[in-house]
Formats: sequence, structure tokens, C-alpha cells
Amino acid sequence: MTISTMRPAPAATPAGNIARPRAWQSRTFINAARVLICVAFLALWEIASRQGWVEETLFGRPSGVWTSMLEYLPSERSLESLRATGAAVGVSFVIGSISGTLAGLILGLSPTLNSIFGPFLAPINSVPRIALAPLFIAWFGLTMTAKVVLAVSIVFFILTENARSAVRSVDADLMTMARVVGLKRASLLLKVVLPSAVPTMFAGLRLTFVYALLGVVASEMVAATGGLGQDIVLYSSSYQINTVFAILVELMAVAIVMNWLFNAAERRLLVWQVS
Amino acid sequence: MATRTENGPAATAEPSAPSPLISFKDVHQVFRLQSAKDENGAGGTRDLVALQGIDVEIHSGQFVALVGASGCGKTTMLNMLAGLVHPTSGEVVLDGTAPELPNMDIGYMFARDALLPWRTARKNVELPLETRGWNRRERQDRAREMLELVGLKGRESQYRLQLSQGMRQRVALARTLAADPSLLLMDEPFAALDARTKLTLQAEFLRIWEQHQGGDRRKTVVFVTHDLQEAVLLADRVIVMLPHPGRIAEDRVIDLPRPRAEDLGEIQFTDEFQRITHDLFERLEGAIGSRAEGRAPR
Ligand SMILES: Nc1ncnc2c1ncn2[C@@H]1O[C@H](COP(=O)(O)OP(=O)(O)O)[C@@H](O)[C@H]1O
Ligand SMILES: [Mg+2]
Repeated sequence: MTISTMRPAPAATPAGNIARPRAWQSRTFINAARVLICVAFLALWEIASRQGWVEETLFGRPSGVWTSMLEYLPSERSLESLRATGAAVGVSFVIGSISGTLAGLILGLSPTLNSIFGPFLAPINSVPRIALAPLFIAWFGLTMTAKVVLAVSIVFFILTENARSAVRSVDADLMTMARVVGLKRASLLLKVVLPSAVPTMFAGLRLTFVYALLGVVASEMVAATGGLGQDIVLYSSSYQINTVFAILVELMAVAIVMNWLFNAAERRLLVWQVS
Repeated sequence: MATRTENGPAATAEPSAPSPLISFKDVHQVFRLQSAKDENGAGGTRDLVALQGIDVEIHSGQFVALVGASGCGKTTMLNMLAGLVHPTSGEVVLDGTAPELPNMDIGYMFARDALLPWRTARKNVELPLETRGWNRRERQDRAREMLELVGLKGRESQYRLQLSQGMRQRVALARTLAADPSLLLMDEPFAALDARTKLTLQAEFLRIWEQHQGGDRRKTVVFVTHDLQEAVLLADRVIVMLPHPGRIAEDRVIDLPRPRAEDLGEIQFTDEFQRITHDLFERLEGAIGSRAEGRAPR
């Protein structure tokens, strides 16, 4: 047995010896259960489709989705759509996060502005934003701007609320300490308020990416010259359901990759949160 | 000791007849509380008398302990000295003027460590030096020196979550002392620690303070605690307070010999110590018995 310098050697009690294999067993069990559920679901779907229990033209089938992925995903059209959607999501994420965070910080720091603008936030945020898509498209035409405006209108409010509460929930003891130590205004903001808001804001950003994607795809589905949302509408209206599923898988993959990136960034930025 | 002293030693002109560094003159503090809505649905307010008729004088270089149960206004008194709270009536004078925030010559230590969790131990100790305009090099050297002083050599780059509670309070102590303030406000600094760690830290704090004793600048300490033993063990003078309303019940000089830092463990078992604590305890109990009596005579 090697001795780890990092953690104390586990006490050689019977309980300690039993606890470890059990935890290991349950983890494998859980993973196996997950895989099994996925496989069972796909198999059932495949069989149901092949046996004619469900209409293939409406519900597709896993093997068909696989073939469509191989055909559609590398195609010029698909890449073009991915580029269009990706660009719109990227732009709305950046614009929405920066403006939303700034607005939230300002509201959180200024009681006056907060009491003026605060009451507007909830009502505006309760408008189902997708319902505004036709309006934005009428105003901005079939452009990237229309998509971005819709996505930003969702992202902005989420992050405003998020940043506002992050700033307001700074630990009271830390604030007292900071004031006694002599921090004021800008230095108080930079050295205490903003850093303590970072974890909350990070959680908000992660959520925000998914909403930016949602806004852009929804806007494209209403009307656009291209993009994954447009493709979904086109393929489903021509009953190429397998391709629709292929696109959904693609969207899911994009979201998962982004989540990984966020996790990695979070681990690097917030080292101090790990004990 | 000016309100805003730079790095250099403060110009402490000692007058021949020393006037107190700190004085509380008939200080009252009333907090207006928003009480919950009563039966009539009217949200009323309720006045809470946190401090009533506080008269205290503290001379420069004295180590004074404020002892009392929770809620008797000890923290409020420290906050007044730090300029965080201004009395409802009466007057607080610190070095000839009303305390104002921020006072660069004050070190304030809290029961909860109040460390910035995103800063390493060293960077936390540097914080008060940043607001005092020290340059990078000086700050780093000073912070290292302070961490070594409180027994945390080698822990400079650890974050708050990687430190035990005792270590966190050590870092907080190092931060409090880093800028070499001449007035230390200590609000139950060791209350959250286990008995052993507490004794070690008390001894270390006392050692640091007592080392300054013969020197040009002896720090004034106002040390708040709810532990009578701790108060007697550390202080030159113990002020016992009572709650509801917060007032002073007893003010007594502790004439245990100094330096004590090296023998804290033994002092606790000396007859002298036992006699003093017992006596104070009885006074405290007696004062609680006759509430209407108010403050005991000095
Ligand atoms: N900012 C405040 N607002 C309202 N009540 C307060 C405030 N600060 C302290 N108090 C009240 O004043 C009393 C004394 O508080 P404090 O000085 O913290 O006592 P101690 O430190 O001795 O426990 C307590 O009853 C407390 O609830
Ligand atoms: Mg207190």
C-alpha cells in the first residue's frame, strides 16, 4: 500500500474496508443502469418502428437517425446552418451577458436606480419572448439581428436578475471588514463586491448559453434565411424526421461541449472554492 | 495618533497629564426596530436600548476587556470606536475627535474570520496594506513576516477553504496586526475555537502585544469576550457589562503580573487568578440579581 501525502491514510477499520468497494459497486451500478436505459429505449424505438407500431415517417428510427447524421451533418448545408446559428448564439451570448451583467451590477449597487427600474424587470421578463419573434423579424427582416435581438431579450433579463442578487448578497461581515480596512467605491467594488459575485454570475452564464441557443433557434423557426432552426422546420414539414432528430442531437452535442468548457473555465477561475 | 497615519510611526505626543485615548461620555444607543405587524395590521416600531449611560475612559497602551453576555452592546461599542455606528446620544471621543471611518490606525478583528475566500492567506494579510499605499514588495515582505509571526509559515498561498478554523483566525490576526495599528479592536476573536487552539492563540496574541510593551508604541487593546476567564487572563482591566439595557456593572483593574504570555496555562490555576475571577463572577451575579441598581460604582 502506498502512502499518499495528500490525504491521511484511511483507518484500517472493518467499516472503512467495506465502505470503499460498496461505493465503487454502486457507481458502476449506476453507470450500467444509465447505459441500459438508453440502449433499451433506442431498441424499443427501433423495434416499434420496424414492426410498424409507430409510423416511421412521423417518428423516425434510431438506425435512420444514424444514417441521417452521417449524411446531413457533414453536408455543406448543415455546416452553413451551424455557422449561422453558432454566430447568432455567440453574438447574443456576448452582448446579452455583458449588458445584462452590467445592468444587474448597476441596479444592485444603486438603490435609487433599482427602485426606478426594478419594478419593470419582472413584468417585461414575464412576456413570452418567442411571441416577440414575428415583431423582431418585421423590424429587422430576415437577418442575424432579428435572431440576436430575440436571444438577447431572454438572456439580458436572466443575467440582470442574477447579477443584481449576486451583488446584494455579499457577506455582511466581509463588507464591514472591507470598510474598516479602508476600501471605498472602486476598490471596494473591485476587491470585494465583484469577486464575491463571481460564483453566482458564473452559474448564471452557464444557464444563459442554453437560453441564447433557445432564442436563436426559436427565431429561426419562425422565419430566417438559414440556421438550424430553419432546417428543423424544413425537414419536419417534408417528413424527413430522421434528419430532424439528427439536428436535435447536434444541438444537444453543442450544449454539452459548451457545458464542458464552462466547467473547465470555472475550475480554473474559482480554484479557491475547492477545499 | 492621527485619524489617517501613513506607514511611519504616528506622532504620539504624550502630554504630561495624559488625557484618555478613548472616552465614552454618557453614551446611549437606541436601535429602532421594525416590529412585525400587530393585530391591527399596523407595522409598528420598537426601540431597543443597546447601550445606556456608558461612561468609560481608556488610556493609551491599556489592554481592556469588555465582558458580558450576548446582546449587552459590546460589539456596538467597538463599532462606535471604528466609526461604523454613531451614538444616539452622548459622545465618543477617540484621540480628541469623534471616530470616523476609515481610521487607518485601527485594527479590527471579528469572531468570524472575514477572510476574502478568493485571496490566498498572504493576499488577505496584504489587504489593509493596499489601502495604506504600501508598494508590492513591502506588502509581500510584511505579509510573509506577519504570517510567520502567527505561526503560518509555509501556508502563504493557501485559500480560506484550505485552512482550519484556527488557521483562519491566525490569518485574520495577522491581517489585523499587519499595518501596525496602535488601536486594536478585538470582537470575540477566539470564541469560535476549541479550547486548545484558543489557549495557543491567546498566548500568541499576548506575546505579540507584550513584546511591544517596553517599546515606543504600546498598542491599546479593547478586547470583547463573553468569557470572564479569558478577560482576566489577558487584560489589564476588565469591564463587566449587563444586557437589557446594555450597561456597565463593574470596572476593575487586574493586577496579575506581566508578561503573562508564556505562563497562561499556569496562571489559570493560581489562587490570585481564581480569586479575581470568582470575585468578578459574584459581582456579576449580584448585579444581575439587582437589575434596577444599574452600574456599580467604580
Ligand atoms: N444594526 C442594528 N440594528 C438593530 N439592532 C441592533 C443592531 N446592532 C445591534 N443591535 C442590537 O443591539 C443589542 C446589542 O448588540 P451587540 O452590540 O451586537 O451586542 P453584543 O456584541 O454584546 O452581543 C442586541 O440586542 C442587538 O440585537
Ligand atoms: Mg457581539
